[in-house]
Amino acid sequence: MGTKETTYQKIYEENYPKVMRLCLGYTAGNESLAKDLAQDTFVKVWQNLDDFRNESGFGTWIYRICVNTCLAELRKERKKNRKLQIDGLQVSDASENPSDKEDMLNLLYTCINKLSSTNKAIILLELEGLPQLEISEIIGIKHEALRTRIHRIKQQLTKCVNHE
Amino acid sequence: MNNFEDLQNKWQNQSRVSATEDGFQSLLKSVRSIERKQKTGNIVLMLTIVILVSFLVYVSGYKNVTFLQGIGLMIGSLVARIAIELYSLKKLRRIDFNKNTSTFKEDLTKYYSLRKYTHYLITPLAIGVYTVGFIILLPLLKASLSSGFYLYILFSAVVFLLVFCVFIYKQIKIELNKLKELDTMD
Repeated sequence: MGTKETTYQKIYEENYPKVMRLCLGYTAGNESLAKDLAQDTFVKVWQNLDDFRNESGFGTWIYRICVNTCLAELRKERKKNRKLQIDGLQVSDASENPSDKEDMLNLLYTCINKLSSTNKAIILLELEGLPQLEISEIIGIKHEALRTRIHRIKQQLTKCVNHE
Repeated sequence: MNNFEDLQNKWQNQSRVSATEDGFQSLLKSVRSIERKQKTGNIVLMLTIVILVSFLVYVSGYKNVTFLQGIGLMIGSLVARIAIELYSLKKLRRIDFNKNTSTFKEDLTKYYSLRKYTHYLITPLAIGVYTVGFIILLPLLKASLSSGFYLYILFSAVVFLLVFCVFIYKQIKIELNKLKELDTMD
């Protein structure tokens, strides 16, 4: 394997879980769709690897590519997603008090999917534990505005998950 | 009752998200295949243009003005439409995924807004010119071909045009939907 491929494999191994989690969040937990999006993200990482200048760190760079890939590609899957939302709601409605981890994740996916595309991206990055300054860099909105927005989305999300 | 920290904890400890060697190998394969397909696609489109233009140059030796007008309009409209599509594809590939989401969204919106001109102006014009060229050729085809073959050409041209229009309509609908959703995104 060449140097570029070795670097690429390292990037893939280190970043795949977070990319996949983000894609799962965007696809309301649809694993096959999320895998396709994660693959698209890493294809773009390969295509842009030579131009990467380390201005913002690999992590931020990959998140940015991933969020943009999800935004650009998901519109194709609008109908599929709507069905997924309904499926997700059925799963969550079935158990009133989800104690099981998978049920909780399904409910979380459903609640995230109710958010607008940008809010979805913001909360997914927040769930990943990314510093807010980095999130504001990725999304392209001012830190102050982002902080207020995150507070609002967090409230929305916890309310939804707790059936309030 | 779950607070945000609980949710964050569950989120970060999801299973089914780990990287595998097989996953990487399949990714590498797909990267290579995309690179190959892009090269092949460009070669095929360029070859199509070269063949069409060469054919036009070859038939320009014929002295029949009606024939030249008809075939010229057909090939000209096809070449123009392919060239515009190639340019458009190049522009789409140039959209930078490294940019922040707001700028990326603006770039994508600009691209699809520009595509509206292609869909509403260039494409109908190209189809119109192509059809006019074909209609100009019809009397010549009728005179020089057997009636069976003439009918076959006439029928297949109409079917081709209809299929092509449906295909283009679907493509336009997808792209306009994308633009609509980009406009409503906050």
